[in-house]
Formats: sequence, structure tokens, C-alpha cells
Amino acid sequence: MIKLLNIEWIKIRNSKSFKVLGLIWLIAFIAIPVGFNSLIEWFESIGLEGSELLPIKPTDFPVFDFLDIWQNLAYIYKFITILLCFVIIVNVSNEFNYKTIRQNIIDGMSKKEFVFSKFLFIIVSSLIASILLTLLGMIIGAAFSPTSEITVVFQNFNFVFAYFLHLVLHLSYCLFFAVLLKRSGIVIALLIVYSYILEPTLIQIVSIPLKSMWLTKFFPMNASWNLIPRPIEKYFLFEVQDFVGWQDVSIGLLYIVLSLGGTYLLITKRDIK
Amino acid sequence: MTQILEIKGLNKRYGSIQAVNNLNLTVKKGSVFGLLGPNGSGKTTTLAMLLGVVKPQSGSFTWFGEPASADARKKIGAILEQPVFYPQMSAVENLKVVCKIKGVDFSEIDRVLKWVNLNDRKQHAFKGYSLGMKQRLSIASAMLCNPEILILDEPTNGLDPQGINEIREIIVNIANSGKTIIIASHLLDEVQKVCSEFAILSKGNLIYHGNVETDLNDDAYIEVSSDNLDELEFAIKAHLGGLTIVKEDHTLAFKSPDALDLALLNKTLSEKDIWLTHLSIRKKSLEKRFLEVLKQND
Repeated sequence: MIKLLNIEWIKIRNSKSFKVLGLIWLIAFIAIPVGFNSLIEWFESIGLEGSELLPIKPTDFPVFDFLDIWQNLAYIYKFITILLCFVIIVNVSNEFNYKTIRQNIIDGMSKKEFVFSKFLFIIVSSLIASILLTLLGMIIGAAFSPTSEITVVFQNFNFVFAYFLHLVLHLSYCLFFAVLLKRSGIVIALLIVYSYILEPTLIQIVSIPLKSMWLTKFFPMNASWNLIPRPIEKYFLFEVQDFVGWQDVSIGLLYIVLSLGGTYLLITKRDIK
Repeated sequence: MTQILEIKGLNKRYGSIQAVNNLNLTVKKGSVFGLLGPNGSGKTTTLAMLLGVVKPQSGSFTWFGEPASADARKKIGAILEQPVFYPQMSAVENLKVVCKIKGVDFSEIDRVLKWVNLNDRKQHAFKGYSLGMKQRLSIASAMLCNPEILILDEPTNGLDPQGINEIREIIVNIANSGKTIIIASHLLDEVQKVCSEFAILSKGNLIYHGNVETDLNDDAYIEVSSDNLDELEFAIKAHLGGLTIVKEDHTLAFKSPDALDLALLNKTLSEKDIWLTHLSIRKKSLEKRFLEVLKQND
């Protein structure tokens, strides 16, 4: 396992696309909470507080308070997951374009090891992102939150786990489709069109006549997004799901297993030219 | 001698094309084996199956007497078609990946790079290399694990004469060190120069399996020339008996009888005051043999 991680590390540390995409992701990761905070400060500075036009106060939005912060940060960070998706797609499809997957196997890597090494790469990237989320959450929470009681701090911490699962699932989809189609351009286009146009439309079509949200949980992208439910309505006194649902987690795990199984079948059953 | 590779009834079909048809072949340890055939005859497909990247329809093969496995491949140095490396990575970084896969120490990298003369450019990205350098890096990579067997698929494809010569020297060096080599090529001249055994594939079928030395010596021709060819022809016939002598532009050629004593022939002729201006043994080229076999099988 260490050997496979080592191999992936040698491959990735020399990759320009990884460095560029990774850096953009990191900047976005840090910029989002900072930016959100400046927005609130800006509201304050222009004196919206108590304004007749917008009768809302920044303090109505305790987004960075402990308890809320984990779900809020995890939710916001879902929007930059696509950058990490690009990293995986480019990395995996290049193995096919450069025919390096074939050379790896000729040199003595088994097909199983190849799939496993890419999955390890996904796990480690997701883990690093989750650790960054934890660190950032701690720092921001400590700065803004009125409480610093341990029990309160780590309540709802399972959203960090949900975020990890969301990343692993999303990146596993990318691994599967990169192996299936072998062309980064096509996979990226497909990912964007499907996630932001096709699936939302399908969900609308399905959920209107059925009047049930149950089935929509099984749409692949939705299964990943659902792991961290939208918290925003909470601040307008609506009721939202403010916990990680075991159903959502089970569906997420199921789809991870399916994506990996599919990837494994594709690699072992097909000739690698 | 022990067998390093044994192939039994290997088949591969792509749609309606039988790429490899019931191939049986053994390669002995220490031999330099030439796999010949026109483009599309199934050479690369065969090697791809032996190297675990293409699945055979049926049939089996063993490496070192064991069933094929990833671990067996770790002991093989192989290049299929063109050199394959990560373009943005340097020679050293690329070879580190190979080292990790094969379980070889990084310290071997410098040794193989020096050996193929790439040490000066080892920190440069692979994509900037000339074709000859890429080909040499391939061979370095294949030699990294000090393999028992080396598989080279068209190792001189697309190289200039100097590049071809460099690669050939490297191959001869490796062969002399006692390693087993399988070379797939359509450059027959190439194979004749380095190989001891050869097999010919055509449309997926094994149509010939022979030994370079004995097969090509069987049909040796003697070429002679002097100032007066008629006189020479008459004298040779008198000395050697019934022979078919082919008159070429400025030479005579005849098939060498068994146990021909060339020195005696020369002496006899000189005693008749016929002085040879040219005397040579012309072995049949592999190319001729190859074309003959292909024709017979058409």
C-alpha cells in the first residue's frame, strides 16, 4: 500500500495540471470563509442593521458559530469539489492517453493494484481536504463562536465525515468515467452537463408526479450532494435537515462500491491498448 | 537448456480478424529470438498477451515455468511499440516509477542511464527527447531490474542510421552477456545480425520456426570472378564436376557443394594460370528466406 502511494506521489508531484488545479482549489478553500466574513462585515458597515429595506441583522446568521459551522463549511465546500474532480479525471485519463497504464502493467503492476492505487489517491486527497476543513473550522469557530465548550465544538462534527464521504463518492464517479471514456475533455463536459443540467431536470420530472423525494435520493449526483443537506433555510426559520442521515450515508457507500466495482471490471475485462 | 517461455495454443480474435491463431512456441534460456512478420501479422498482439495487457481468447503460456502473473512480469524487461513514459517527468523520475513497480533500488537508475548514455540529460523532461533518446531510455528502463529476459518490439523503428547502430550495439552487448532476448521486427537485416533463432508469423499463424545459423548456411553460394569468365567457368566445372553455374554481370555464382575446400579450388585455378579477382561466400539472406516462406504460405 505504501508502495502504491509512493508511485502515485511520484506521478502527481511532477504533474503541472495537479499543481495548478490543486492551488486554485486551495485558494478557493481559504477564500470562501474569508470572503463570506467580509460580506457580513460589509453589511454591517453600510448599516443594514435595522434598515427598513432589509430588516435582517448579521447576527441573524451565526454561520460560523460552533454547531452550525461544520454543516455550513462542508456545504459551501461542495461547490469547489469539481476542481478536485478535474484533478482525478485528468490524472486517470492521461494514464490512458500516454499509454502509461499499459507500461505500468507490463512492468509488473497488477490491474488490481492499478485500480487500488487510484482509489488510494482518492482516499488520501479526500482525507487531506477533510483535515483542512477541520483545521479551518477550528480556527474560524474559535474566532467567531461565542462558545468553546468541547461538547458544543464537536457536536455536528459528523458533517466533516459526510464531507469526506461526499468527496470519495464524487471522485470515485470521476475515476469510473475516466476509465470508461479515457478522454478528459469528454468526461469533464459530461460531468458538468449531467450534474448541473441533466440530473436536476430529471429530478424535477420525477419528483413532480410522484410527489416524493425518496426516489431522488438515488440519483447519483444527488446521492453525493445529499450527504450534506442545505442549511440556508434554517436562518429564515424553516426547518432543515441538520444532521447526517444514515440513509444518505448508506446510499453514498453503495455508490462508492458500485463505482469501484465498475472501474475494476472495466480495467480487468478490457484489453489495455 | 531450460525454457524461459512456453506458449501453448494461444488465440486472439478482434471481431472478424484472427490476430493470433493457435500459436505454439518455446524460447530457450540464453537465445536471441527473432519474431518476424509483416505489419499486422500478430507480433505485437502476441507480445501484448505475453505481457498481460491483452487477454487471450484461449490458450496459455508460462514464464520461467510458472503461470503468468504480475510477479513474473517484474523479472521481464519489455517495451511494446513506441517508448512509453510520463511526458512531463524527467528520465530519473520516470525510472523511479519503474523501480517502485519492480521493487528495484533507486541506485540502479544511474547505472542504466550511464550505460545508454543518457546521464547528461537525465533531469530533463521526457517530452523533449529525440526519438533515439526515447528509445534508449526504453532500453534503460527495461534493463533496470537486471531482467532474465528482454522483450523488444521494433526497437529501431523510425531511427536514423546512427540511432539504429547505437541500439544494435546495445542489443549485441546485452546478448553477449547471456541474457535471453525476444525481438519483434520487420527489419530482417536487423534480426539476422543479432538473432540465433527466428519464427515467422503471417496473418496470426506461425509459418516457420528455424535457426539463423543452420537455415541460412544451408544455401551458401560461392561467388568468383576473374579476367576471363568463360575460362573460369570451364575450369571450375572440370575441378568440381557437374554444377549449375549462374553467370552474373562480372561474377560467377554456384551453390556450394558439401565440404568444399576453397583453398584447394584457388590453388587448382592458379595452377591453370587463372587468377581470381574475387572470391566470396554469399549466405542466403534472411530476407530472401522470409520472402520465400511467405510466398509458400500465401
